[in-house]
Amino acid sequence: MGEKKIKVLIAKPGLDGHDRGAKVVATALKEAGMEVIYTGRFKKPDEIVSLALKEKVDVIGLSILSGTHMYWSKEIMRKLREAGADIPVILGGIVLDDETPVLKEEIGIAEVFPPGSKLQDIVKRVEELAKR
Amino acid sequence: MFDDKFLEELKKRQEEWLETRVKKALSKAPERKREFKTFSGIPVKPFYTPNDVKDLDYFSDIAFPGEYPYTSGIYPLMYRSRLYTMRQYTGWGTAEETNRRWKYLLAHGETGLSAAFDLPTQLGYDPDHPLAKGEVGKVGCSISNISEYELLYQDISMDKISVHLQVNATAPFIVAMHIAEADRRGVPRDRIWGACQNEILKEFVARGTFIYPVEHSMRLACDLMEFCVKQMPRWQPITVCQYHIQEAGADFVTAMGLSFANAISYVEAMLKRGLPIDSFAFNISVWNCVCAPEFFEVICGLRAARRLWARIMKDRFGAKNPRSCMMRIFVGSGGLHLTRAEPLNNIIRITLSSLAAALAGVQAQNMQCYDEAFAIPTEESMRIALRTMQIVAYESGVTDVIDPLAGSYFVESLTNEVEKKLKEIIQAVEDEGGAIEAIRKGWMQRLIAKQAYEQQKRIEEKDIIRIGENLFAVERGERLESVFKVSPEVEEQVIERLEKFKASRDKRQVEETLAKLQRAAETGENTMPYIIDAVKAKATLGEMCERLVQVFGRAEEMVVW
Repeated sequence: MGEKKIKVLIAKPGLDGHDRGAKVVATALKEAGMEVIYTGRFKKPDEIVSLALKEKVDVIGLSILSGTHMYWSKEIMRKLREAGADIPVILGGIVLDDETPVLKEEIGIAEVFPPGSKLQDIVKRVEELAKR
Repeated sequence: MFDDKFLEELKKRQEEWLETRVKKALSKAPERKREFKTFSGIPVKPFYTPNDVKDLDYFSDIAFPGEYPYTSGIYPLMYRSRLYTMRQYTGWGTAEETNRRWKYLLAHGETGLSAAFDLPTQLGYDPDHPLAKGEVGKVGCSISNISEYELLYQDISMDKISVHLQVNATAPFIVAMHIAEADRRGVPRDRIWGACQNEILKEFVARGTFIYPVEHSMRLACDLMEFCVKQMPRWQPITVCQYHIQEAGADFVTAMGLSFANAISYVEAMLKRGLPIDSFAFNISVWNCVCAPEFFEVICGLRAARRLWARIMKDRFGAKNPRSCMMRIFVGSGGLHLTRAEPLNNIIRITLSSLAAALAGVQAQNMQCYDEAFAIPTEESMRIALRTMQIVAYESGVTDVIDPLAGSYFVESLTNEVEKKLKEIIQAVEDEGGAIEAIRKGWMQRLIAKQAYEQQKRIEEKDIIRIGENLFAVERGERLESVFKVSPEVEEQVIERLEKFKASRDKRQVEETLAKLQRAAETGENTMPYIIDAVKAKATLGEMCERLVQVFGRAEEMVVW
């Protein structure tokens, strides 16, 4: 029996419509052999968390480019905790350098990918997180 | 433009040159790349000669500035009489904060305004709506009602300075606020100067701020266009967007082709309403394009677009008035080629954009700021972007001669190539049943997503170079000392004001005007007069939008990747 495919949920919370990054990352993960679900835009934290649980994904990826990443990250991590789920969450978007430690240490985001990040680095990190 | 004997001789000598000189040079040092091509994949030769433009006809393919097909520019004197308008996309937080930044830019020589609205405003949610939480004032300013609009426009003329309202799904409501404020001040409607984006089709394929299903969205966009072309001759009621399609992933030429297909749909929808082509063509032939990352492709691309649009208007739609064939172009430098690494280098990239735009003969420029990859701009980064456009305009001398690159064998050849490609893309969309059908099927979305991924791979394979990011990259780029942050109190502040505003109104009048708006939406009457009435009766943006949702429903996103 072959190794189980890594399953990833790529989600866009809030009202931000910029979905280029989300789609490019989703495609890269799929090409790397993973099973990827992309939610589309305007998703509420509840919808993201329940879809992640229903689909039993290994990693959640959030894409936010409207400067609201601190707010949405907090909300989604809170909902995940409330649901008793321990799924690593990564975040791609316009995150400032001084926000990264807050996101990782206080809010609990596993990894942050600012503009200029490489797809191969994202793929590698998702693989690591899924194998935890 | 050249005689056959000369071309024959030229061809012979060029072949000799290739066989001898070039071959010898290649044996000593090979070329830097396996293939040379533009950003959109058009192959580029090492050298161009009259043979590359041998079929060019000066009068029908280039022509004098201000003459059909406007390849060199739409006005006879272009920047010699009036420089391009400099309008920076500006807005965040509250109406007063945005108003202050507008005045700051005007005081530094900005010549037009461009308004940025936050996402709740763009999607029709008042700031107290649960879905607006966290988003208020973040990427633009929050405007939910006429009293906010008054603050936004305080002490700014509505007929002496032009504005570009960058709003789409909610354009009818925001433009109605603009009109209501002009009415209150006594500015006649035929004096109101400016434009709005109102380009809903590209929201479905690229940017994502849509509310109603596509056919109803088109109807509202056309209601706004029809109302404006009849009452507001100095208002451009739509800006066709190549810009967002490229930023979403398409290459320059594909994005331009798709935007042409969308534009054709708007023209057809207006004709279907019984409006003669020459009654609206000039006002709606306005484009927003990305002017980057590649210098010559953009210059030639904009020349080709002007020429092709003129030809489409004349040959396909039978426009008789020369003005109907004039494509006006507003460019931005785009954000995608700007890097997070070593951000000050972006100033140099933006300078190239502004220079290319000036050489391409555009009507207005908006240059992105060097801190684009960090946050919305600071006062300083915004001023530098404005200064960049001014330095190109006043110091470089490129604005003294119209279309200074005309006649270059390379430029004319690439202009021809782009025009050819644009026609192919327009045809491909028509083969799918036209723009609206291509959007319904997800055809455009899929094409853009595919190109976005290919572009990212090209960047990672160093086929597209980003200095400091994928070439000569340092371990860690410079950090910015100051980055703009929106004050966290904005949300609370505008919600409080909204509550007071609601308490001050005559509820019966609000309900009456909303009911009339709903009826107009149901019967197919033009909604604009009813929206203006509702705005004046102090209905909020969210209330008006929601009424129309009851009639039209909400659009479901087609998730394609």
